[in-house]
Amino acid sequence: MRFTTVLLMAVFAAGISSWAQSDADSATRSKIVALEQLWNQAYKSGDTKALDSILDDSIVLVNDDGSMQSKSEFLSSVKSSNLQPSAQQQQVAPESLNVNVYGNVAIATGVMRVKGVEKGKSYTRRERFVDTWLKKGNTWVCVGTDATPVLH
Amino acid sequence: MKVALLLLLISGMSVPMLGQKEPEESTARSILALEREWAEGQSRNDNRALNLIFDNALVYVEYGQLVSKRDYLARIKHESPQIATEAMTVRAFGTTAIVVGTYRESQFKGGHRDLKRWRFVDTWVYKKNGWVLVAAAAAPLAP
Repeated sequence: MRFTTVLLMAVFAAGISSWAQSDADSATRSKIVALEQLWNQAYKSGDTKALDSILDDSIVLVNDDGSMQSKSEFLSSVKSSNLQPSAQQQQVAPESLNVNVYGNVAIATGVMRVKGVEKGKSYTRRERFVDTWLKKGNTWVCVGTDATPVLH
Repeated sequence: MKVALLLLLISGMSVPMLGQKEPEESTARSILALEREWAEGQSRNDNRALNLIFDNALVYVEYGQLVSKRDYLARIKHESPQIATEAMTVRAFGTTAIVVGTYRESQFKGGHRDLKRWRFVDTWVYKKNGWVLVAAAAAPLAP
């Protein structure tokens, strides 16, 4: 009798804990989706202030051609492309997004369609991205991002 | 007296800074060892070793395609690319670490040796039983 009660209580506690965990993960997922949307909008409108707030100062940023940029280089490139819209990527449209949560870390992966003009020629390509988000204090910041062209 | 207080204050400040640096260095060592283990495991078709270091929900991007852990391990069983890492940098953020670097991949395909150069970004997370790889992506570089 006693054993059954203890067992039921343990199962109930485990259920509560698992439910609370999945609730927290779900809240994190929503937060990351919102941050990814904010990133896209800020990139499109050249809002470097918003980008500055969501990208960690030591972010690892790898572009689709394998080149690397520091946060300040990336922000400068966004600023300059906003001044000369024809010089760089113009439109970024997300096609899919999935978020895996590991406590205070979240991995966001998806595909985006990039349209732009480069050296006078227009292009459209699809890229798969992997972003690593980390909760620092109460704020989520992106600490790593990688884009890879979808080749096949 | 003031100097003594100042020295005490400075030494007090440097101890936590030193304490902060040590775990980061220790994390970097562990992660670099796991990256080597991964490259070696892949070259030896050692699925069992790779299974232990990959998280079950691993996000692995190859040629822009999302590959599951199961599919990746199944492919590695039959292919044994030789991986030569060129450079690696680890950035540690507590229980998360990001590795960025480049490597050369050499594989025998269709009677000839295929050589490729990649830039990769790997994300490792410390879980109950140690560090596991949760995300890995590589972009092809000009040879």
